[in-house]
Amino acid sequence: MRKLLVVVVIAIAGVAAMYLLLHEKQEAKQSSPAVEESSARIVVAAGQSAHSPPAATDSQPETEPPDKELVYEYGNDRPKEQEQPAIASADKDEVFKAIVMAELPLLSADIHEKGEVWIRIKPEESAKTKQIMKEVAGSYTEITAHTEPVRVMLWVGGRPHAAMTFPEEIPKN
Amino acid sequence: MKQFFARLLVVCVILLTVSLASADDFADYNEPAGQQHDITLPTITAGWSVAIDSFPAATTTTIGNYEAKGRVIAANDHTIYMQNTYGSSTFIPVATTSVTMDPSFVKVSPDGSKIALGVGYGKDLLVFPTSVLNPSSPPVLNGHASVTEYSVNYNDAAWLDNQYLLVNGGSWPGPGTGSDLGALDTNDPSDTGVPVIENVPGSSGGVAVDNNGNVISGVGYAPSPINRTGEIKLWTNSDILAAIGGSALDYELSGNLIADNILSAATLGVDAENNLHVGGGDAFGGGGASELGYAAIVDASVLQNAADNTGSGYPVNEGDVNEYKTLEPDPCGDDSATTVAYGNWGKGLAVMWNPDEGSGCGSPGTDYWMAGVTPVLSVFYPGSAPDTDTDGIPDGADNAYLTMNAGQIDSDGDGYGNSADADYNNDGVVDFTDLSVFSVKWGLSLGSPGYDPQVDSNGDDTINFNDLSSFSVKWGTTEPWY
Repeated sequence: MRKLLVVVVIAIAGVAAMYLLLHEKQEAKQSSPAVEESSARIVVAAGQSAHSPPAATDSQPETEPPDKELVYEYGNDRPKEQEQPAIASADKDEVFKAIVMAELPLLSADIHEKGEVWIRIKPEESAKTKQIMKEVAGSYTEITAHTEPVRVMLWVGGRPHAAMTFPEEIPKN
Repeated sequence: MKQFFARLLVVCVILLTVSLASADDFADYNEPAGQQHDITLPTITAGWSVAIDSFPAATTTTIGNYEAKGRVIAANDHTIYMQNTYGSSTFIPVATTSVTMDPSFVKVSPDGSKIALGVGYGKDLLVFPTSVLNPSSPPVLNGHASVTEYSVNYNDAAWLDNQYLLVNGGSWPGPGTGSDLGALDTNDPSDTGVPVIENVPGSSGGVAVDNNGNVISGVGYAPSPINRTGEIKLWTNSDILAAIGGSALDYELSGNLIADNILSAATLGVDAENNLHVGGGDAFGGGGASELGYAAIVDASVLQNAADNTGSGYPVNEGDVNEYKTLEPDPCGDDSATTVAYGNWGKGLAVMWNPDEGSGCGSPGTDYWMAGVTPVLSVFYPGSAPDTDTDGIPDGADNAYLTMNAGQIDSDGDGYGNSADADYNNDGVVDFTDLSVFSVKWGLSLGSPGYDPQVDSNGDDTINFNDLSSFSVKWGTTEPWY
C-alpha cells in the first residue's frame, strides 16, 4: 500500500513537472515569434541553414517547392524593430549584402540610403529581373528589419534602368 | 544661245543649292513631309537592351560581300549582327564575344573603319577594325589579334574623330568626385585615357559629337538635392581638344546649357542638319510625372547659339515648336525611348522602343526591358532623305534601293525586295538552280497553279519577258542585291 502511494505521488509530480516544463517552453516561444519567423525565411530564401538556428531550419522542409521560396508577404510578416536582436544597423546591412550576393545572381548590391537598394544583375539572368528585384526587397526587409517600403533600383551600365518599390511598383526606365 | 544656256545652268545650280539649303529636317520628322519605317531588331536574349549604330556614309569598308555604309549594326548576348540590306529586319551574325554582353554601346567611327563596343559592366571596352567582321565565319572578338581591349569604366561613348573615343566612365579616368568624361586614344593600344570633363553631378548621361566637333553630354541621374536629371550641355571642339592636351574641364564651370531636363539624356545624337536627338526615360529622376513614351528633338539653332556663346537662344524652350518636338513611336506611349541613333547615309532618325506591353497599354511597370523583348527600331526620314531609284521610298528604308519597287514586295521575307531578288532558293547566289525555278514558272499568271510571286519580279501578276530581263541582270551575282 505504501509502495503504491509512493508510485502515485511520483507520477503526479512527474506530470506536474512536465506540465510546467512545456508551459515554460510555450511562453518562451510566444515571446519572440517574429525573430524565429524572420530567421526561417532567411534560410528559405538563402537555401542555407548556416545563418539560422536549427529549430527554424527544422520548421521548413527542404523539399518545399522552389517557387514557394520566393514568395514574400509584405506587410503581414514584417518583423518589428524592437523585437530584433541588438545588431548594429551597419552590421545588418553587411549581412544583407553578403547574403544576397551569395544567393542571388547579382554583380553588385549596395544600400544607397535606408530603404533603397541599388543592384546590378548578371545579364544571363535578365529574364528574371522582376523576380530578383522582389527577392532583394524581401531579403532586405527580413534581414535589416526595415519596416517601410523598400525601393530596389536596377542599374544597367552607368545609370538606373528600373526601379520597383515593394509592395507597390513604379514604372521602369 | 550658248551663253543663254550657260546662264540657265548657273540659275539652276543656284536654285538647287538654295532648295537643298532650305530643307528643314527638324520640321519634317513625324510629319507628312517625312516618312516612318520600322525595323524589327534581334530579340534580347541576355541583358536588358540591344546596342545599335549604323555605318556612316563615309564608310568604304566592306563586310564580306556587303557594303557596310548605311547598315545597322546591333549587339546583344554573345553576338554582333549586321543588317543584310537597307530597311531590312534580317540580321546576320558577323562576330561573337566569349562573354555574355550587357552592351552599353556599339559605336562606329566617322570613317566607318573602327568600332567601339562597350561589352557591359565590369568588362573591357573593345575597339576593333570593321574589317574584322565576317558574315561567313564570325570571329570571336575577345583575344582576337586585331582587337584592343581597354580596361576602363564606361556607360556611353562617342567618337570625337577617327582617333579619340570620348567615354562617359563614371569614376574613370578620375580623380574627380563626380562622374567623368574621358578620352581614349584608340591608336594607342596601351592608352589609359585622360580626363576631359570632370565632376559631372550624379551619374552622367550620354555623349555625342555634333557635326562641328562640339561635344554634348549631361546628367543621367541626379535627383537630389535638386533634380538635375536630363540636364544637357555643349562644349566647343576647341575646348575639348585643349582639355585632351592639357587640363580637364570642370562640368560646373564650363560648357553652355542646352536643356535643363529632357528625359534622362541617356542617349544623344545629331542628324545631318545638326538637330539634337535625346533618348532615355525618366521614371525615377525625381519630381513630376514619369516621362515615358517619347524621344525628343532640339533644333540645330539652339546648339549653334550655345556653341557661339551668344548669350541667348539657349537653352531650348520646350514650349516653342520651332525649337523642340517629340517622337512617340510606341502606340501605347508608355515606353521609354531608350535609344536614339542617326544614319547620315540614307538620313533618318532612329528611335528604339519596346513593343512588349506586358498586361497591356497604360499599365505602368509592365513594359520592362529584359530578355525576351524584341525591340523595334522606328526610323523617321525627313523629306530630304535620298531616294536613288525615285520610287518614293527613302534609300535607308528601301529593300531594293537601286530598283524601283514602290510596293516593296518581299515574298520570301529575306529582306530583299522581289524586284532585286532572283535568288529563289536563298543560297546566296543566282545560278542554275534559280534558272530552273524560273523556267518552271515561266508564263504563269496570278491564279494559275504554281504561280510564284517571288519570280514575278515586277509584280505585274505575270511571269514573262520583263521578269526574264530582271533575272538575266542578276545572273551570277551574289548577295546582297539592290
